[in-house]
Parts: sequence; structure tokens; C-alpha cells
Amino acid sequence: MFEIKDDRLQILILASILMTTGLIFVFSAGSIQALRLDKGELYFFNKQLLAVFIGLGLMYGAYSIPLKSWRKFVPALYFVTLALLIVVFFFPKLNGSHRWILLPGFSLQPSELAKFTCILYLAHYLDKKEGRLNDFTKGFLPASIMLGIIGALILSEPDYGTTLLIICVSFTLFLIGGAHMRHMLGVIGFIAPIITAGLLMGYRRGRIMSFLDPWEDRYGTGYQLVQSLTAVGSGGFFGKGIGNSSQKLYFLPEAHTDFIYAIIAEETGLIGSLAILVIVTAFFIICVKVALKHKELFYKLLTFGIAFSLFIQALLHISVVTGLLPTKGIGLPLVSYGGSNMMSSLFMVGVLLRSAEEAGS
Amino acid sequence: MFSEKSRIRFFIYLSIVLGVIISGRLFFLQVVKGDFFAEIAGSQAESEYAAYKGRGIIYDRNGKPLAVNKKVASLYVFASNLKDRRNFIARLNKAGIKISKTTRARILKNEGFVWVERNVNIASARRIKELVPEIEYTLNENRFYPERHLAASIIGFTGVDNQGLWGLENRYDNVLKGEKIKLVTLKDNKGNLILFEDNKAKTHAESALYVTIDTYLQGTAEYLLRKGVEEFKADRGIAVGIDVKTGDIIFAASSDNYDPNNYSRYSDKTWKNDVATFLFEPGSIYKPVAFSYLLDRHKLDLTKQVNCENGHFRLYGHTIKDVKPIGVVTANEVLIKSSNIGMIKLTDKVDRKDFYEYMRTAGFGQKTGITGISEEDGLLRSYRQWSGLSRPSLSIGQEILVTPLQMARFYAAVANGGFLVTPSIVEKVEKNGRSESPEAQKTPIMSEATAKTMQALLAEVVKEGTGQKAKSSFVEIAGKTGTGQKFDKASGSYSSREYTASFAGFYPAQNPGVAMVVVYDSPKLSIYGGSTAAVTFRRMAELTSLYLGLQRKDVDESI
Repeated sequence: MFEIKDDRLQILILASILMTTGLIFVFSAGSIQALRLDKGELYFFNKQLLAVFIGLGLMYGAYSIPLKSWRKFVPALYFVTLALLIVVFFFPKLNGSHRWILLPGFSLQPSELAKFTCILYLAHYLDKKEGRLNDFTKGFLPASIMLGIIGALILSEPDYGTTLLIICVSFTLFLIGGAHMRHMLGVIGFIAPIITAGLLMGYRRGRIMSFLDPWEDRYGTGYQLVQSLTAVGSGGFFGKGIGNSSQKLYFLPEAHTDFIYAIIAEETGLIGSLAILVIVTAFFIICVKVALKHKELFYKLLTFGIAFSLFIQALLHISVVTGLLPTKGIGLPLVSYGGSNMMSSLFMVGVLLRSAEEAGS
Repeated sequence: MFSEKSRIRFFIYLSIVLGVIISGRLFFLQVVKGDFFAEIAGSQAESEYAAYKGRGIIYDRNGKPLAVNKKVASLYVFASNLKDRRNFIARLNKAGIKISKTTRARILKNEGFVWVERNVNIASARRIKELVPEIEYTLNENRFYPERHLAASIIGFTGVDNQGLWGLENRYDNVLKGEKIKLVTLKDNKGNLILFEDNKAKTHAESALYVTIDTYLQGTAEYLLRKGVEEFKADRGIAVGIDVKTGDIIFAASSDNYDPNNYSRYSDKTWKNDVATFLFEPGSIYKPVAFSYLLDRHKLDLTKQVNCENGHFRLYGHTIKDVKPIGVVTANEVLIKSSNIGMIKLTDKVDRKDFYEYMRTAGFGQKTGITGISEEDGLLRSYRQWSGLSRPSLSIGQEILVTPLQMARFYAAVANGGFLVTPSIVEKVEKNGRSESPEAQKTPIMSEATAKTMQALLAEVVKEGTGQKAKSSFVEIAGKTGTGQKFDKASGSYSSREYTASFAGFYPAQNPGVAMVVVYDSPKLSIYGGSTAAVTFRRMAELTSLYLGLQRKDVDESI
């Protein structure tokens, strides 16, 4: 049935390793956060486990759907996403933003769905318009507007991280799909000032400035970064041993979500941190190779887009944790705590598996 | 241009390049700078956020708590989160919080975490939080001393972090300090740092300290001393009572006192335990030391005739006087009537070295070895440094400095049949289910016969000698009065106006249970121990006997 050369198996193995690592470290780093909230030690672990099970169901579901049927759902999915992104504003703010649709017992982040929707939409659109993208008003502009609406809604939640991710992935897809560089530069010229202004407002400005020299205000704006670097650095070559992080206990906020890689690096050292990096990169490369096997542009773009989206997230997470980029709350896909993200990531892995199957046959 | 395939392939190379860059960064952080960050991580874990909880309780000998823990709140702020620091301080003042200059400076400077006020009660912390919302607080525990002043100089106190600073709290800090908890800092959604108690870092350490002090008797002694200080217009009064057989200190009181709940409002002089650190010249209460020496080492004949020169005697150009002049008396009357001239004549022929060594053996000029409180050595110069006047002076309790505890210990030895016992203030220490008591030593210093003779003589002193003010119809008291010139450290000479008046003894005289010393520092009403210290001694002895159920005088046990 499966051989080790089989792309599906490789994807599945790497995803499983990440998921297992995630569960271990959500347990290790999340227990203290759970205690802080006066919940049991296993609070986050159990929720994550549930998300993994639901996610595996979604993954299997996605795997069973032939790729080309997704094209029929593009308009429907787009409007569902749009509706959810509007509905989200009717729910109360949580942690200062309208990111969650709060339902009894659980909550959903529509922006997670939006990632997939945008990739699917763009893959479909670019395939449809192949060769006609040079026409700005009929080719490039309509797609930009459609994506822009989604982006704007997510931006106003506000969720800068996801917005940036979507912009980044979309641009890359445009680039591969053959969009005119001139058009793209024009759009960049248009949105760059908005993004920059947004970044330099309020607490984000502090974060960015502190990224340049976190030690200057190590108890204030530079706090998270200093603590994160301390966690990573103090892990040394071999790490402190699983469960032995001191940073997660006392100093590193959000250790089980936005800084889980720091805890992995602290507890497993350079060996573990490099291993995760290698797995993440290998996962991406395997998926890109799958994309290259496809003949049709839609399949190529869909596969590449999903893989790239997961890879960029992982890279952003690792770069923030190691101080290569300014502090931005972003989870490590398949690893960090977060139900919506876990479910959407696994769902996308399901699509990738399907893609690998169809490319191989 | 490039084909899609090559564009896509480009991202494979890009991912490898990015991976290598991040690997380099990881290598830099984890290997090159690994030690640096390991040090930061280590020092942080021991940072100011650590606190102790569940400090061991201190009980008296009957299990009555003397030092307990109380839940309190500590207010803090992350100054870097404040929008207007001066305004914040102004509103703090309005809310009734006076911050120190250092705290003010820390808030105004760009410091992160600043304690605003430590250990306030939880209700007022809530109220302040309502008035000044930027304030955060964490709950912690702090010491509370329910008996306030009682035995405060012995028990001591703890600091803002519940660390033992003084007295037993300090000496037994390692045992008492309880479980270490760490306060965790996290950022909330607004980027504010918050503290909370890290439940995971708890370790269980249950401990308790039992002192030998009896709260009732301690309180009674402190009350009587304060009364006495008023009555006799003294600077201060000190009393110590010890169990003659075990050396347990049942009360160790001083009129000079402080409230450990607010120790910083009192002068640090009041923190000292006077019982083991107050040095005074004992005067006549020391005569039994010399007298027991004569009995034990020189087989002194109590009927030996001594000429007491009617109160005037010249020695090395000095005139020795007696308060009550007497003529030729027997040796026992020298002690009972407390004749200085008689004592000097009786010790005239003794060997300096032998006499000195006896006094050393009796515990003078050195620490008693008590565990848990600080004590003074006292002053007893080596016989090699003695002048011609030294031996006569020592025989009447001059040229020597003692502590009340050293004196009480000697009288306990007389009372228990001749054994010098190490006094103790700590009955037992319990930690993790194990119990430990300080070791007590018992050293014979005189024969039982000598001790019995001394007991009878000291009972006579109260019955018909100089100690008659201590005579009680409830309990038979044995003891000796004393008056000592105060040695002024500044001028290096004896003061002519300042005296200490004292009474040392034990009771009941026939079957001693408690040895006790009462000292008044500079009483203005009368310089004589017989009129001041003896009175307080009697009152205390009566109440102690009643309370402890010691054999009373009016009960004939043969019935």
C-alpha cells in the first residue's frame, strides 16, 4: 500500500511528529498557564487533544475530496468566509480583539478558514485567468479587491499576523501565477504605508522598537523577547530536559502558544530546535515537490499555497522566538496550542495528502 | 521570463537558505551565548519575586501560638506601564499611601516592577485598587504576633519578605522559613505584567517551634516589671525564671519592650533581650558564689567567728563599709546579714587561681550556651590580671559583670543540688514530622551537701536577714538581695549615682522548683535591692507558685 517513498506517507509522518511534539510541549508549557487560570494541569492538553481528534477527522474528510471538486465550492466558500468574518464582530472582544466566534463550549477563529479560502480562491482565479494577468483591470485588480476585502476585515479585528500572512502568501501566488511585477509593485506601494502606519501605532511600535534592542527596556517592552531569548539560549546544546524549563514557569508569557518553540529549544537544546527546523523545512520541500508533479496550474498553486502558508507561519514563529523578527503573536502550526489553528492546519494537511495522491497517480 | 516550475523551485532554495540562517541564529543563541543566557535564566529564577509561605508557627510551652501567619496583600506596579507617573503618585497619596523616597524614585525612573507597599490587609488593598486601578496586588503571608509585646525580644520578628530578622525568628529562620513560592510574571492582553503565585513551585515544609516560655507567667512578669519601674522610678526592670532541674526558661521579661508587629516604630535598643545581654555588677547577690566556694572547697565552719569591724574596714587604702554595721559574728551570719567586711575576711586566704576557676566553673565570664538567643559573656578577668583588691571585690560581687541569666543559672544550681544546667529557651523544633530539642548539659559544680547548706542559708536571709522584703506568707522564698554600682563604659569607671538593685533566689525553699532573678536598672526610690527587686520577686514568686501549683507554705503535706 504505502511505501516510504510515497509522498503521502512522508507528509503524514512529518505532520505526526510535529503534532506529537506539540502535544508534549503543550502539556509541558501549558500546565503552568492552566494553573494560573485556576484550571487543572491538563486543561490545555485536553483541549488540544480534542482539537487533534476533530482535526484528524477534518483531515480525513479533506483527503477524501477530489481536488477538482474544490473549484465548485470557491464562490460558496468565499461568501461563507466573508459572512463569518462579519459575524465575528458581533461577538464580544476577547483579549482586545474580535477574533473569535464564541460558541458554548468552544470558539472558532474565522481567520483560520480565511487562509484556506484565499489560497483556494487565488489558485482557482489564477488558473482561470492564465495568460490574461497582464491586463491590470481585468486580471490583477479583481482578485486583489476580493482578497483585499477579506484582508481588510481581518485587519480590523485586529489581527495583524494573519493579515500579513495572507498578503504574503497571496503575493507569492500572484508571483508564481505570472502576475505582472509592475502591478504588484503598485499594490505594494498602496498598502505598504497603511501597514507601516498600523505597525507604528500603539503597542506595536514599542514591540518593533524593542526588537532592535530588547535589553534597553528588558522589564518593559523588551520583556517578552528577552525572556524568549533567555529560554532559547539557556537550553544550550543538549537542553534542560523535557519538562525542566524554568522560563515557562516564571517568565515567558504565552509559553504554550506564541512561544512554544522557545520552550522546545530550552528543554531539548540545539539538537531539538534544529530537528524541528529541519522537519518544518523538509515538510515544505516535500509538498513543493508534490506541487511540481502536477500538470495543471490550479493544483500546483493550491498545493504550493497551502504548503507555503504553513511554512511561512512556522518560519515567522521561529524568527520571532529567536529575535530575528519583531514580537508578533503567531503559533507554530501543528505544534502550538490553539484549536482553530490545529484544525485548520490538519485540514490543510488533508488537502496536501489528497494532492500527493493525485499527483502520484 | 522564468517558467512556473522554476519559480516554484526557487522557493525550495529559499527555504533552505532561510533554514540555514535560522540554524545559524540558533547556534549563536544556544551554543555561543548559551552560558550567558543560562546565567540569566538562573539568576531570574532567584529574583525578587520569590517569597515564602507557610512559615512555621511559634508556640509557647503549652501550645499557645506566639507567632502566626496572616494573609496580606502586597501592592505593586509596573512603572513602565504608567502613562503619567507623577499623576499616579499623586493619586496614591490621595488614596492614603505614603511611599518612600526610594519607591518614588523607582517609579519615576523607568523601572519595570516596583513594590508600592508591602503587607497591607486585603480589604484595604482592594479599596486602593479601586481608587488607583493601575495598582496590582499579590496575596502573600506575613507574620502576626497575637500577643504583641509579649516575649517580643525573645521571639523577634520577620521582614517584609517574611524572612527572620531578629530573635528566634532569625536564629531558626532555616527551620521556620516554610515553603518557597515563586511569583510568576506574565503579560496580560494589554501588555501589562502581572504577578501570580506559581502553584507548581511549592514545596511542603511544615515546621513549628516550641519555646519554654509560659505565656501567662511571661505576661505577669512583664506586667509586674512595668508596675515596678513606675513604683521604684527605675529605668528598666528585668526578670528571668528558670526551671531549676531542666534549665527551661519559663519567663524572660523586661519592662523595655516593643511590638514586633510594628517593630520599626521602636528604637532598636528595645529589641534586645535583656535577660541574656544586660550586663550589671551583681553586688551581694554574688556573695553566695564566694560563700559556696568556701563551703565546698575550704570546708568552711559556719560557726567560725568573724570580726566585722562595726562596718568600717581599711584595705589597700580603701574603706570597706557595711550597710548595717555588725561586730563579731559567726560565718553563717556574714551571709545572712550580708556583711562585705565579713566576706572579704573569709576569702582572705584563698588561692586566686582556685577561686577564679570555681567562678568559671559556676558559669561566670562565659556564655551559658543557650541556643536561640544572643547572649553576653559577662566580664570576669583572669586571676593573672587581678590586683590586690580583686579578690576582696569579687567576694562581694564587684569587679565582675554578669547577665541576669548567668545569675539565675547559678541559683538554679544551688537549688537543684549542685548541678549547673544549660538554660534553654527552645523546647523543641518540629520539621517534617521530626522533633528535635537542643542538648542540655548538666555539670556538677558543688557537692549536694554544700547546695543543701546554701539553700538553708538563703532561706534564712529572707526569713531574718537582709531579704525580708521578699518574705511571703504563701510561699517560702530563699534568696539574696544585691546592689551594684553601674559601670559607665564611656568614662571607664563606676558611677557614684547609678546603681542596679537586684534580688536572686528560688522557691519554694524546701523543694525548689523555680530559680529567679529580678533586676532594676537605676531605681531612684531606693538603691537597695531589698526594697525594690525583692518586692517584685515576692509578687512574682507568689503568682508563679499559685499558677504552677508549687508546694505552698501553709499546706502540711503529712496530712
